[in-house]
Amino acid sequence: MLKEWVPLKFHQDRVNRKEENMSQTLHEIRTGLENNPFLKRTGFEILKFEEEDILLKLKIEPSHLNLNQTLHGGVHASMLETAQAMAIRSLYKTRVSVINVNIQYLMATSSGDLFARAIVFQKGYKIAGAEAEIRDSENRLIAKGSGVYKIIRE
Amino acid sequence: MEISKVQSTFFEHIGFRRDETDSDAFNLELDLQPELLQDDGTIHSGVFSTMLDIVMGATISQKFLSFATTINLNISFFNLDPYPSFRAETTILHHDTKSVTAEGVIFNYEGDLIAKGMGTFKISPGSRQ
Repeated sequence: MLKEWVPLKFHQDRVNRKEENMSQTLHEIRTGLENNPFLKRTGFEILKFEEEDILLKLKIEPSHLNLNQTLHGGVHASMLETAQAMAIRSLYKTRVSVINVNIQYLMATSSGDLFARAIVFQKGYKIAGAEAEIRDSENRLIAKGSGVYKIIRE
Repeated sequence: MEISKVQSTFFEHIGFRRDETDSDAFNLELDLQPELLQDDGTIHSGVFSTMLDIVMGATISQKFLSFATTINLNISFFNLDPYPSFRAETTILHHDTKSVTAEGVIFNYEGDLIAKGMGTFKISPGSRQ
């Protein structure tokens, strides 16, 4: 059942949103992000969302771990990608689409809180670049990433 | 290697499943669920990053009988549209006694390329028997 209705429904949703996507306010973008199903599912919490100044938090749960009982690499990747996209969206006030990401895993972790920050290092008309880092509550660097994003101007 | 030894809790949390038709390879499949989408209706890129990390890490783990710890991942995304299902496969490119480099690809149900990544993993052969 899911296979039939999901693409059609979300395609229509996206068409309906075309006119709304430019010049969103920070509040509108933040509200959208807070209702983002994947962010809710993974447990990311937006602590701060201002222009080019965002802070993301994750409380590590058992569901985030791999067989080694350390944080799964997919969680680092998701957190860095989310932080980078948020930083760019906060600046451009529109949707973005990721093109490429590169992630360095620097230290294993298995419990506690993690925090991600991102900066926009390249601000083009069609393309923007951002980098992000994840630190634990003792300010130890856990992972670092960078990414290139397409700016959606519909 | 038994399937239970290559599945983590995050694996189950996202909803991946192993394609068990080929026991020599570790191919991964994913059916779209609404929880994997973003507010704009596209799939979150973290889903595909996770899928590639798992498919590469588990293939290495199975082949070298070792835990595979990710050191680096580089991923290009070509299409984040919400297709009904996806499949990931991997190829080992190089290995020495301490590290393995692999590449992984994700296709949608029609065989279109969705994402491609390359990763480097640390291994300790014999750490997982």
